[in-house]
Amino acid sequence: MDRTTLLIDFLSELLTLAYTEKAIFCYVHIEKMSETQINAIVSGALVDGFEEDVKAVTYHEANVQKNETGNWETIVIVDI
Amino acid sequence: MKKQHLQKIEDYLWEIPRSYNANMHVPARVYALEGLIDAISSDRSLDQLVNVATLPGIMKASMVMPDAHEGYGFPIGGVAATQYPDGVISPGGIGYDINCGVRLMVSKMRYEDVADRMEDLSKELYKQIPSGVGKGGMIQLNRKAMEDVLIKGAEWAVDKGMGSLEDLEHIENHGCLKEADPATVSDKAKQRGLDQLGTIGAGNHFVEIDVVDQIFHEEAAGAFGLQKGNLAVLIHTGSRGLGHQVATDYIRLMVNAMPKYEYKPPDRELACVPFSSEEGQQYFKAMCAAANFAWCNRQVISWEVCKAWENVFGSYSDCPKLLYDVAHNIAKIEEYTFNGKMEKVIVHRKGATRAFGADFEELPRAFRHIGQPVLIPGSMGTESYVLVGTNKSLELTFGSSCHGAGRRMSRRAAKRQVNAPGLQEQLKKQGIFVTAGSFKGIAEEAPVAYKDVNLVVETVHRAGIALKVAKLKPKAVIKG
Repeated sequence: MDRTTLLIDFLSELLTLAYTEKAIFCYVHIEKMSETQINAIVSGALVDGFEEDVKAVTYHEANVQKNETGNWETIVIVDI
Repeated sequence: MKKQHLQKIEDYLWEIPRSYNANMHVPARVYALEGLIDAISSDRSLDQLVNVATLPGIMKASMVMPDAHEGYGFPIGGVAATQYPDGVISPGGIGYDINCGVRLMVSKMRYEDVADRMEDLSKELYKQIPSGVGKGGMIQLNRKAMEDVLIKGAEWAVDKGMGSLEDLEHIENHGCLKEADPATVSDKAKQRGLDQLGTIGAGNHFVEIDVVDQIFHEEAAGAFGLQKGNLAVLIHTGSRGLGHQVATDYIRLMVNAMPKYEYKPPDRELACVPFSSEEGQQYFKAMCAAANFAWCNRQVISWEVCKAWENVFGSYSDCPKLLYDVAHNIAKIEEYTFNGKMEKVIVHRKGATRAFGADFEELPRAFRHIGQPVLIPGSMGTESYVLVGTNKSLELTFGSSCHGAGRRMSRRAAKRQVNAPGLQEQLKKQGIFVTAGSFKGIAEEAPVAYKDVNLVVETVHRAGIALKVAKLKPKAVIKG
C-alpha cells in the first residue's frame, strides 16, 4: 500500500457509496490520514440520477507526488 | 510509439519484435490494414500492447485487433493468452465492464412493411428498456435471487419465463460459466446489481433496430436466418455496476497481493497474479459470476424488446428470435495447439470477440457446420456487421476477432466537435431515429468519434479470422 493506492481506494469507495446510496458528495472532512489509512466524514445530497456513468476510478497514470510548491499532486483518470 | 516500429508481416498484420523491449516475453502483433495504422499509433495502445507482452506466462504474442485503441493498462481490442495454470490472470485484461457483449435478434418482419412504425417502435423500446446512469429496472432481486442469477446466468431469466430454452443454446457458453461462485462477489457489488437486470446503462451501450442491408455469404446467412430487407435487433450492454465493482475490488486486491509474487508491472492497471493462486482463483470465480449476471441482463432485455414489439405490432406478431450472444470483455480457459500438442491457456479478451469456426460442439445444430456468429456493432448511425468465426482464428488469434468500430476520438473531443441536436436531426432525415437520455450521450457516440467499421471488418475478413456474412443498417437507436 502506498499513497497512490490509498487515494484511488478512497475515491473508489466514494464512487461505490454514490451508487449504493444514490447520493453525491460535495464535502470531505479528513479526520486522520497516514500512509495506509484515511478516516473522513463525507457529506452531500441524495439525487434522482447522475449525469455521467463513472464505471471506476482507475490507477491509470495515478502517481501521488509532491510538486515544487510543496503540495501533493496526481492525475486521476476515471473509466466512463 | 511510432509507426516505424511496426514491421509489416502481411497486408493485415504488423509486428513489434521482442527485441524492441528487453522485458517482452513474446512479440506484439497488430491486426490492421494500413489505413487504420495511423489512428492506432496516434494514442498509447501500442505501448500498452508492448507492456502486455511482458506479462508472466504470456504465450505466442500479445495481440490487438483492428479496432484497437488506448485503454487502462491493456489496450482495447486486445487478446492475451497465458499459460494454464500458473500464468497470470489480470482483471485489466478483461476490463471494468465484465462480459460487456452483444446479442442479435432476427425478425421475419420486413422493414418495408413497417417503415412508418419505426418512430413508434423506438419510443416504445425506450419506454420498456430502462437506460441511463445508475437507472434501475423493473426487477428487484433479493439476496437469494441474486445468488441464483450469479450461478445460473441467462437460465435464471428463462426459468422466470423470459425467453425459451432454445435461447440458451444461442448464447456463448449457453449463457453460464460454471466456475462462478457468488461467495467471491462482494456485498457491495451484489447491492449495486440488485435493481439493474434488464437495464442498458449509459456510455456506448444501446439497443438498435436494424435492417439486413447486404448479404456477403449466402450459406452462412441462410443458417443464421438473415434475409435481406428483414428487421433485426442489436443489444450492446454488460454486467452494469455489479461487474464494475467486481473489477474494482479485485484490481485493488491484486495491487496489494502482487509483491507476494515478486511482480511489478509497468502499469498498475496491469495488476495480475498467477491464475492458480488463491487470489487468481477468487477473481476468476467472481468474474464468471459477473459474466453470468451480464448474460442474464441481456436475456431480460430481449424479453423487454419482445414486450415493446408486441405493444407496437400486436400480440400475434412473432418476437424476433435470438441469433447469438457474444461476450467481448472476458477471460476463458481454452485449449490450443502448440508445437503439435494441445495445451490449456487463459485467454483474456478485452474488446475482442470469440470467433470459433465450424464443428465447434457448443454451437446450435442450425449453424454448427458453418461456425459461430461474430457480432460487430458499428458506431451510432453507421452499419454493423454479422461475421462468422473460422478455424483459422484458432491458429492465429486464440480464436478471437474484433468487437466494434473502435474509438478514434476521446469523448471530450467528440463533445467539443459535435452538434448533437443537429446530428440527431440529420440522422432522422436519413431515416434513423435516435432516442437518448441526453444530447451529451449522442455527441460522445457520434460516428466521427469512431474508426471506419468497414475497414475494421475488412481486416479480419482478409486475415481470415472471421468472414463477412451480412451488413446491417440502423433504423432506430435507443441509448442512455
